[in-house]
Amino acid sequence: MVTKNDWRAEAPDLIHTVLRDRLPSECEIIAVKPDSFYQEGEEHRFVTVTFKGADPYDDSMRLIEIEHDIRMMLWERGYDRAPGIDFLREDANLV
Amino acid sequence: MTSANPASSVSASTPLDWRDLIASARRSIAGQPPASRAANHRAVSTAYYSAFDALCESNALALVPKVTDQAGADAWVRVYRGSSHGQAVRNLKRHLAALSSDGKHFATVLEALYDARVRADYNPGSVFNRQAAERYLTQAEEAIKKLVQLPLSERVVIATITLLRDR
Repeated sequence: MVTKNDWRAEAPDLIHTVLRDRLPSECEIIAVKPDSFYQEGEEHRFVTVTFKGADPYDDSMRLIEIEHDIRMMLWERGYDRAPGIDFLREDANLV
Repeated sequence: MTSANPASSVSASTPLDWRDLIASARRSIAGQPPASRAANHRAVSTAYYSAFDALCESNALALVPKVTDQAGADAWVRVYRGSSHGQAVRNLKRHLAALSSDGKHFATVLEALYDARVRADYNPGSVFNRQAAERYLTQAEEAIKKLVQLPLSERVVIATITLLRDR
């Protein structure tokens, strides 16, 4: 099982690498920031991917496949829970 | 897989149709002016519940495919209501080796949607915009399509995996 400290050190880099390799080159990944919170005693992990240029959502089917592959990769590396992935445009209007 | 409870001629129980849930959420965030943050978060939550409801219905249809009397109708509803969120997500992951590639896809998406739903509902720091909400709705829709097209034998496997505790 991958501990809290392990996942924060490892998962962002792994996710960043996969996204950089598989998203269109016009989509630039600026940062992958880990975070988590507790709900009813359970830790919920996620990363916020900040990007600029082309939007990862432009090809939603491709993004779905990439996310599936990331989750499978992390499960196979021993993650009891893989972090969720949120995408945020660098200059996003969040509403 | 049909969306209607086969017991509907015997019992009034009919589950929500996952397609209606997704369509309703899409309508709530479509158009101008842009949807509110609350509407986007509700849509993310609905994306998860549509997938979970589809799983519950798949389980019931797989284990109780034919209902001819009230006892059968009750059994159908019992199976439909038998899944719990955490157990379904955890057990699918534990038994990935038993699943086809489409079954694995549904398993990963269910966990992704569950996590997103918890963030949308409980984490005040999370902000989902319309694109994010639409992404989760599409993710749910595609995963459900894969689930309902699985052969009955695999949907029986998924039902036992998600309904029964590992010992």
